[in-house]
Amino acid sequence: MAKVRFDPKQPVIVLDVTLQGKAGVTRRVRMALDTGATYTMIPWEIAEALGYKPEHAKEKVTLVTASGIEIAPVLKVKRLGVLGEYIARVPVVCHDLPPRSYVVGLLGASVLRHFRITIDYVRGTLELVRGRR
Amino acid sequence: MKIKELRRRYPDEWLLIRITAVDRQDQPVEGGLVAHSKNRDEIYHEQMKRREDLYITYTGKMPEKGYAVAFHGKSSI
Repeated sequence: MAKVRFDPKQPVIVLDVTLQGKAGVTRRVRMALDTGATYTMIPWEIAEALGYKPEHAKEKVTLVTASGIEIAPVLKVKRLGVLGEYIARVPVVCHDLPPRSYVVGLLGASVLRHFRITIDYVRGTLELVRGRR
Repeated sequence: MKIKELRRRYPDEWLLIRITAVDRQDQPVEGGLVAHSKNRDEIYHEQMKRREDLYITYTGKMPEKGYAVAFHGKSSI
C-alpha cells in the first residue's frame, strides 16, 4: 500500500510520476490525478526523450480539446511508477497540456485501473493498493 | 540540494532537476538544478538533450487566481 497526503484545499491532486522508457532514460514529472481520463497523458517531448517516436505510433485516439479535435498517438511506456508502485507497458497518450495547467501530464485510468484508490478529502490522504486480477 | 529548497529559491518557474536522492516511495527529494525558466517549453527542449534521471516541476501555485481546472477529453480508437 502506498499513501500520501495532499492539501484538500487545492483544486487537483498532484503526484510525482516516474516514467522509464526504452532508451534507458528516466523522467519524473508532476501529473494531475484524473479519474475521468481514459488514458494517462504525457507531452510529446517527454515521450521522445524516453526513446519513443509518437509520430510513428500505430494506435491513435481522438481528443476533444478547447482548441478543437485532435488525433493523438498512443504509446506503451516501458515502466511507470507512482508512489513506489511500478507498472509495465502502460498505454499513454502523447499530448501537450496548456502551459497554464502547470502539470506535465494527467494520471488516468490506464494506470489507475491497477489500483484500489481511496481518496479521503476530509483527512487529505490518498491511498493506492495494488490490485490482483 | 533538497527539492523543497529549490522550489523556494525559484518561485513561479519551471525547474529541470537532476535527481540525486529519492525517498522510500521513490519520490525525488534531492537534486541538482539543470535549468529553470518561466517558459515551460524551454525546459521541455532542454530535457530532450539529456539522458540522466531528470525531474520536471512547476513551483508556482496551481491554478492562478481567477482560474479553475477542468480536464476534458473524449477518446475513441
